[in-house]
Amino acid sequence: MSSSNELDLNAYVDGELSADQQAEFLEAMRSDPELARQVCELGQLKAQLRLAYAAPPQPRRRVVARVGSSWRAVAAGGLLMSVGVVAGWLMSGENQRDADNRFVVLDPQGRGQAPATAASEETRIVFHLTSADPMVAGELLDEVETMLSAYQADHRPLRVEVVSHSEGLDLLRKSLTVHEGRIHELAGRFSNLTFVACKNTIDRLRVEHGIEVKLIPDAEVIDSGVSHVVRRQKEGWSYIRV
Amino acid sequence: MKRSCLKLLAISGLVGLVVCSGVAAAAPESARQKVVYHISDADPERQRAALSNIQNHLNDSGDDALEIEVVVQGDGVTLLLLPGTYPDLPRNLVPNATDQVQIRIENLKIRGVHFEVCASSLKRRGIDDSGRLFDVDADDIVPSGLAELVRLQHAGFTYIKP
Repeated sequence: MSSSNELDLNAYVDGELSADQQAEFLEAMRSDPELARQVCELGQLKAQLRLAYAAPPQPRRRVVARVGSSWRAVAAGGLLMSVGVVAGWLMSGENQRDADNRFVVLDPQGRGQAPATAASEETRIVFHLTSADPMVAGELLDEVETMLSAYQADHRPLRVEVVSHSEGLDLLRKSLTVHEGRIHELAGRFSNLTFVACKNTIDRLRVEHGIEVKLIPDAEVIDSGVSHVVRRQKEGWSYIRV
Repeated sequence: MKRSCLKLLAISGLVGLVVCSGVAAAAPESARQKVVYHISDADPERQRAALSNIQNHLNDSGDDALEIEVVVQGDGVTLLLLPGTYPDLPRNLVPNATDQVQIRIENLKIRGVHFEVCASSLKRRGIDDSGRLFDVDADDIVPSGLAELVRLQHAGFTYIKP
């Protein structure tokens, strides 16, 4: 990957490129699958960090002293921290007092942004499937079935969404999935289970590879898999990437 | 160019650290951030990278500022499998608890990191002897890793999948 691409990578993920630059970058992604993968991963990482660091973390100054000894490790750490800290700081910077209050109000023990749910409340889980491996998907379906059955037996409310995104879309593609029957059976048995396909991925396959994706009938479609899972986390859903 | 990009990011990160350290000064013990790392990848390199992420996280935030759980699940269980055991694992999975990995895990445990292993992932891969896992007690094995990830998030842990 060229260095200009690397610089553009962050700008692209942050939506900071002009229309022309975006077109240029998309062209580069088309000829560089590794770059496309990195865009996807960086997008997810940034989204996760934005969530994780709604309030800034508590760093210690000794990190600064170690810069000389292991520059690469610190640079890598710096990348991670800078995304999180700067994003978190910018988000909370304008209204620091509100951010502090929110942190305190939601969780006096300082346990992060997700308030604990009472036993009577519905458990909501979004599984973000990004692996094309049918074994991984099969194992996920087994686990989901076990969970749904257990909650049903105990009369505890549960909602599960499986969001298929990037390579994970294969699970819901008519021509590629080995689990169509299984999904149909599960979706029929459990009304609280939803399978969701990412439209961005579908569009990308059409534009870049000329593939017209046909989904299995039990799949629903949303615009962006990443935005969707981030929204779900903000709504208090548990998130697991598979 | 690549170097300067990293440098720029690192500097912005450090500036962020310094700016924020004022805000976060004298955090009480109860404000420890809870984080759960999910390891489910079969690739030994990615497993080791995850250990590095956790180590960096501790270095950055400080051992006392963090409470870290690691849920090892799916193909990720090979991280804790001793080399030479189970030669017939499905899909060419490779035990990855080499001497070096053991040292790194031990080091994380000393710093307060707790590892949990998914029983159903072990069972599915025919791993029935926890004695062949590195430093795993009965207490460290949870029935379902995914259910444990949900439980921890409900208990206020932030989820990170390296």
